[in-house]
Amino acid sequence: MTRFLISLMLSIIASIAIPASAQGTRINLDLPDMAAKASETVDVTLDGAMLRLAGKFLSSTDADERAAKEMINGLKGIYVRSYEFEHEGEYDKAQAERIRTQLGPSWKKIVKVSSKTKEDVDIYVDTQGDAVTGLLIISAEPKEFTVVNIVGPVDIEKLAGLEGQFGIPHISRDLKEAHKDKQGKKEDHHE
Amino acid sequence: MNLDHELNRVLARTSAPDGFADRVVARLGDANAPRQRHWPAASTLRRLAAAVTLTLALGGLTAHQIVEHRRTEGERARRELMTALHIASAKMRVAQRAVAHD
Repeated sequence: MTRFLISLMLSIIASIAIPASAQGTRINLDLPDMAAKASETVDVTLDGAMLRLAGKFLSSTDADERAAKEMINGLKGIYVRSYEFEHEGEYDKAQAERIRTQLGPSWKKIVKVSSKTKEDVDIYVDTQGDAVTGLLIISAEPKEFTVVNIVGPVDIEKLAGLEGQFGIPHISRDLKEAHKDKQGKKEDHHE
Repeated sequence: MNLDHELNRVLARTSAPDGFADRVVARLGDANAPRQRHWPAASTLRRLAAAVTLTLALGGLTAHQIVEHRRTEGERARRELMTALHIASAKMRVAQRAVAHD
């Protein structure tokens, strides 16, 4: 009887502990002050079940949707909050700190882009060993603030590769082509 | 003495009443005859059919509503997913562009 009770307690503890570690990368993105001031808000909350449901409705013939289907494979959630304001400086950029303070030691900043006039972008990844288990993007523009949290094994290259999908031109390819054009023009000048 | 007399009176042999054998044979004939089935009245059948039809119709309607709700939810989730990935990839593009310029 005692053994049974001990094994029951252990299984209860395990059932509580496993989901907690699996969902460790979910960040609370809610910023009610910002939402109240924003003229436009995008609020996307897709947990595992909704992602799987969305996956069933993605077309396998459409290239964008096929890429999205591959992207969400194995993900546990995608959460986006984007606030657009009428005027510059209408929101407090320090509010982003409320999100950063939630990041534990397993989170690492991989990119920081700072611009006085355009857009500040910080990208963080949550890692377990060598595996990426979560992604957080914080983007602050003069009239727009966006946070994206992807929970689960994110393929960052694949996500970055989506830029070529969705009708967005591929940046690395464009840069190469721009470089080629420059080279061509220089050669023309030399001739 | 009285007891003997009483017993003799009670146990005395008597003949069956007239027509007893005929009545027994007639009863046996009735028992062997096929029993008549009692079908419910036509009005009861109509009520039963209406109840079954109504149940089927309501069941079908509910099933259709569940499927339709699921489809609407799925379409909404698909649109939200595409929006989310669009935003995420666009932000990654900004970062990539900045890194590429460095």
